[in-house]
Amino acid sequence: MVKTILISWGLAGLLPLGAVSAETNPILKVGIIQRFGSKPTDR
Amino acid sequence: MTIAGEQLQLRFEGKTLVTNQISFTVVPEKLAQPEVEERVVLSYHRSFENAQASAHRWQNLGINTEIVQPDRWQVWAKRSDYDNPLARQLLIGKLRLLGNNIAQIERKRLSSRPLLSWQVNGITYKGTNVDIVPQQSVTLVNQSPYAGSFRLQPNASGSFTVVNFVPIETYLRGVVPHEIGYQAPYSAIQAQAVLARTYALANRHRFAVDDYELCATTHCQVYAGLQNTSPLADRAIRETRGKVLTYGGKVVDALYSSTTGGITANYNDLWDGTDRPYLRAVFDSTKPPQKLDLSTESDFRKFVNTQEGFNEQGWRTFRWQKFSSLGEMTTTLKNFLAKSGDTRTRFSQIQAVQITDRSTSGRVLRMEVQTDRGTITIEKDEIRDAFHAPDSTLFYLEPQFNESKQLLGYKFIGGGLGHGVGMSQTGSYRLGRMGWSYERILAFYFRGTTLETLQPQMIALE
Repeated sequence: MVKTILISWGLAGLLPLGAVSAETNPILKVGIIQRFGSKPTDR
Repeated sequence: MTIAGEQLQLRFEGKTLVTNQISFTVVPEKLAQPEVEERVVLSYHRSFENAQASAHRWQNLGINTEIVQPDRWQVWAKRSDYDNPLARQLLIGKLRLLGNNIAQIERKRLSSRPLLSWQVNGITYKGTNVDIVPQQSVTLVNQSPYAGSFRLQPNASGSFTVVNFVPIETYLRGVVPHEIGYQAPYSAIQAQAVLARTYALANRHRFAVDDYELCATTHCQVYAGLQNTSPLADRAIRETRGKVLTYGGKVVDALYSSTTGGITANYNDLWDGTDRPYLRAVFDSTKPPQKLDLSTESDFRKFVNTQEGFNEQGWRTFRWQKFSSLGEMTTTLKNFLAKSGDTRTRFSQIQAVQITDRSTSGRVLRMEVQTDRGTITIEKDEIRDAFHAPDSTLFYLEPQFNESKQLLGYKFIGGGLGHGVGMSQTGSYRLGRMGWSYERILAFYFRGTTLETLQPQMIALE
């Protein structure tokens, strides 16, 4: 069980991102922590 | 926790706040009156592929569905269609009349609902949705670096999901080295980059129920953000930028796995649903294969006992033997059935196990388990969860007896690690070391496909 998520700033300028285009470089939505706050169910 | 600075923009409920560090917790908010949450679970699956095939079958019966992954993959009757207890009971009654004993109503009594809680400048906020838009390139999430922005949002399982919004070419930096490994030859890394890109674009519907697209595990592709990126993988991503595999003008379901055991699997050897003509069995060897009919037990045994002449030879996962006692098999099978909503768990011991159907690629399609309470059939991909021993479905069974000729268990003798469909990652290592280009490696594993630059019309809509 993940109890806390800590999000903070990091280092700048490391990414060779290039141009972001919706057609050739679309934005993906990726679940990096899928079940934050889940606990054993009482079913 | 101290929150200060100006690097992270937080947006929620019409507010915008700026900070440089934020910590979230989930807290229960007590309900005025307890509530009962119900849903109709129609079926349970090891993989998304079979859940999707099952969902199509339910839809053909006129039942709209949702695919969710609280633990195993599940197909639910669409909650907005069955939004009251009577409708759910009627559906279950109808399914029982059709002979379905797996579908069931899952019921949860709730005395509270979960909320996200966070603090900015000493003020505590609570809510269910928060957007975090960094003003810099790299953001740390639980100390791991990521690019892009983030959203915390509720999911169908009753918890929250942290979603990373990231351009695909940057996403690949967190996938390619983790999937192919750091020692792979360059053309194998390039092939992996094309496959990871193509797979991501073809599989964006996996978590539609929760309004995101892909997970970060082997249920999709391993994605670790900007942790342990590799200069060589970055180069391969850059040099194959925008390149995808297509079939009939659409991006393909670009599957790959660790080790195939000497022959890749047909898509339908593992999963039900629409066949992929470009995912057909390929002997994972550069030498012309012997004429063997791997659907027969004798030819299959001959094949699995051959060690030489394959792209994967020498890998630990290429050939394996594992013994499983009847006791272990019984425990694993009971756990599997319980997690699958199958009530046939009251047997005391497995009496015998046999393979009753095998595909042309040698994969086990069906196994029958005799117990003191009847016979249980397990098929295709589910076999890997139902029995502890197999690393793949490419195996045969050798019963093991004690001196009194009493059955002790079975030796699983097989090859490969993973589903075996599409490219073999270990096979690509050898092909790369032999000087094959990534284009040639991809054409070898994905027959009939075209390698081309991504165009909007290639992204299939499900």
